[in-house]
Amino acid sequence: MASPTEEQSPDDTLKYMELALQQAKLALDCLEVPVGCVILEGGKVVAAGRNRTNETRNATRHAEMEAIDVLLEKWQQKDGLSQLEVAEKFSKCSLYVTCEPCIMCAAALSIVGVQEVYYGCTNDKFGGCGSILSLHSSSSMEGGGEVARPKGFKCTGGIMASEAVSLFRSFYEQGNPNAPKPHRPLLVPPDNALNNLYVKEEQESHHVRHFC
Amino acid sequence: MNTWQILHVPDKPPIPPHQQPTVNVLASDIEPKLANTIIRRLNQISPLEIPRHVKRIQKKHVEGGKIKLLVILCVAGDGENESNNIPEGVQQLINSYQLSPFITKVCQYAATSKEDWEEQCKLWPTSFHPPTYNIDGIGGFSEEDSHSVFDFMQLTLKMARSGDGLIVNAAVIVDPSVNQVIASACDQTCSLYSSKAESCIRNCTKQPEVYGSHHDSSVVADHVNVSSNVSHDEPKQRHIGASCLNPWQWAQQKLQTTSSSWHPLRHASIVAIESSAARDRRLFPSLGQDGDKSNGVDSIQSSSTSTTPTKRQKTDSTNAENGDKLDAHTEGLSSVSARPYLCTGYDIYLVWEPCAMCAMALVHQRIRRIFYAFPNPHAGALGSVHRLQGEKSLNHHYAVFRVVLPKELLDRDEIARTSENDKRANTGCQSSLSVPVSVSLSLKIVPRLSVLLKLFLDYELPLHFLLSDERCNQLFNTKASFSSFSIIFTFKMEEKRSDLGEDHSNSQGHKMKTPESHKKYANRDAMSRSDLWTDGLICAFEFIRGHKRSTNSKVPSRTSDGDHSKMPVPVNRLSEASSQKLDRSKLLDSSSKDEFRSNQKSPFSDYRDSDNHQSGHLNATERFDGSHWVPIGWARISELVQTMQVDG
Repeated sequence: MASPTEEQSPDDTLKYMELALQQAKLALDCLEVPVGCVILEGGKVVAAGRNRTNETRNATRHAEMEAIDVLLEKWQQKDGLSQLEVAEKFSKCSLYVTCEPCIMCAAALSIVGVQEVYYGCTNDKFGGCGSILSLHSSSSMEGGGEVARPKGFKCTGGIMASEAVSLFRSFYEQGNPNAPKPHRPLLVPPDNALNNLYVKEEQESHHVRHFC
Repeated sequence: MNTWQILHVPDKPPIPPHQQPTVNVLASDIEPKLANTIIRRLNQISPLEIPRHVKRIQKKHVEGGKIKLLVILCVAGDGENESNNIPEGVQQLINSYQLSPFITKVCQYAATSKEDWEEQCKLWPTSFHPPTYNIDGIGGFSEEDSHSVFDFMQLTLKMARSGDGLIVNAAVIVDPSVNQVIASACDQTCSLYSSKAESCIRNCTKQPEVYGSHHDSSVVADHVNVSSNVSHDEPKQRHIGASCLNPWQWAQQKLQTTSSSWHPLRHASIVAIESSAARDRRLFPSLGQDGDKSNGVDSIQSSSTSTTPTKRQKTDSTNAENGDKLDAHTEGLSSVSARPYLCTGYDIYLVWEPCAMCAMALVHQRIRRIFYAFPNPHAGALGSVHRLQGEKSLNHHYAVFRVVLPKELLDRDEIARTSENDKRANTGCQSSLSVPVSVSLSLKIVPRLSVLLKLFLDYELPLHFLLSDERCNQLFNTKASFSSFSIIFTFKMEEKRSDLGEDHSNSQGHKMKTPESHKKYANRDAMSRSDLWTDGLICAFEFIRGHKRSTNSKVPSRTSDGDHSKMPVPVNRLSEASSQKLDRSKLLDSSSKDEFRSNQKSPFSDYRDSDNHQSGHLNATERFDGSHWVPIGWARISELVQTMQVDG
């Protein structure tokens, strides 16, 4: 983890993370695990995303994947950009996400080739930016001569981590007693499972260092 | 390897039993009668330092029937300076009983197999608890289960090959309890795989101006002139390889399609997961989150209004009917309570070991077992580069199996993979395979070549495209001086023709003629050796000379195709491989070298008129300007065969 770049003032970093947190709150309001993110290109927010795993029943629909898809659709379908141009654009993007990207998302961010990632709390269970794997550091994979080299990205953690953690806590607390699913108790366990999973994470994230 | 095999890919990289990591411990002889006292005191001093699987005491029989007890006092540091590292309490113990401690090694990690354990005990006794897995198959597969695994893998392989010659990764999610396919998908990182490709291409051709910004104008013109059937084939020839093998490659592909469907993250597993999620929503729409489009507010409202179960069911049934799935309707109603959580209990079959993104996606989606056919040495996350199944912190763990294909099938795919990776030695693949032999052919031997092509076309042998541009370059590099145009094939040749594969391929219903048929065909057509062409055409390339392109408006698909895979021409690799079995490939190889020197002003005239193909000999360096190799597919090859007017 590195400290925020010079060209990025701490105030800006907090401002963007605040936007990511707003996305996470949206997720929370929709009974989703509260993770949210925004993607910036040249100092402008160009995409936002939040968890939609429960809604879609697709556990891969994390905030980061949602936001990447927003950009791909925009650049590809609306702007008609080529792969090369899209890759070029991604390489100038930075992502602000409330929780350390999981292994899947970290890999995806490496594949699309974002420039840097700022995250809130660490993800001790599945983090792909240092916690479990370090997919953000390009040296983590062997690169053969014929293979495009894995791309790393700059990664800064611990930004407004306590806010991110408290969202997880709210998610857990609002959780099941209040969850408006009293008529289908038998169908709830899946969501419980998700809750629990993040609760553990939340509990372990109390000790997150604060950089800002 | 003539049979199918299912190999468990363990949580930890396999370590040879005698190379297990060790730690140093401080041990000492003790008087047997003091054992209880000393152990009790040791437990107070350093109870947990020693790895749990390591036994604290070892009993040794010494000469004269005496028993000697050795006890581990504590973990020793790395340094040899033992006295510095000894905890105070242990030192006191040593002093008070006048022990003479020594440093010895114990195995650091608990044994995962009986073999490991036996080896460990040679150092110091350890305990061994055989793994108590609850996932079927780790302890072995029943014959019935094995067969269904093979069948599904076969299906997956077939999917990967569909799309005429293009090889991509394919994923099939299966509910093993009823042997039902839940979802299946191929890579969609590029628009060209799916059945939608056609429409995308049509869209492209309607908007030629978009190409203008990336191509020279002649290409644009060419593209516009493309006849419809050619343009449909074109995209299939463009993309090379499976997404997971090199996830970062997408950005380097200069695919200038403006088709809207490429997506760098739509690897086969991701698409299959999405499809299974869609199925889930369709079959079990009862959770108040109907429809993909419901936004957050909607789901809050529908949830908080909490309709009664009866009312909800009513809604469900209409939804299901709307979803044009009658089975969905009934299934949804009858088994709402049996709705699976994500892909819990499901298996996924993949041609290649998934990359980190896909492997983690499969964790998230709660897949129970993963079966893959080929390792992914540069990017695989299930043993090759990472090993997610062994990451204890993850909240879900699947079991991973590699399905080893029988020789008959393996040959083809093994070659394909080898071509891609050039890493045979490192991938741990079957070393028993016969070495693939590369044979270069040129149009000089047109009659023979056309027969050959026809052979492949007739028997629908697979045509693999797994070479990266870089690899193409490498392949052709040393051929630079004489390769001019046309097609290069790499064939599988086999020394010993085993008939074992035959029955298998038939019984599996694989769409492939038996080797016997080729032989007959080959003999009839006086092929050099009847057993020469036993298997697989791997790749075909056409040499495109840039500066001559515009003169050939009739073959526009080639030129535009070529632009994305432009590569300076080349250097030898092929000949190395050829030399391995030169005696067998002599005829073709030698002829090819000569013939590659032949050249025309336009490569395309060669294809039109085989009689002309030797007419020109251009300066080798001159013709490389803007020239490049382009992988081609069945359609193009067919075309070439046609234009060569086969007289075989």
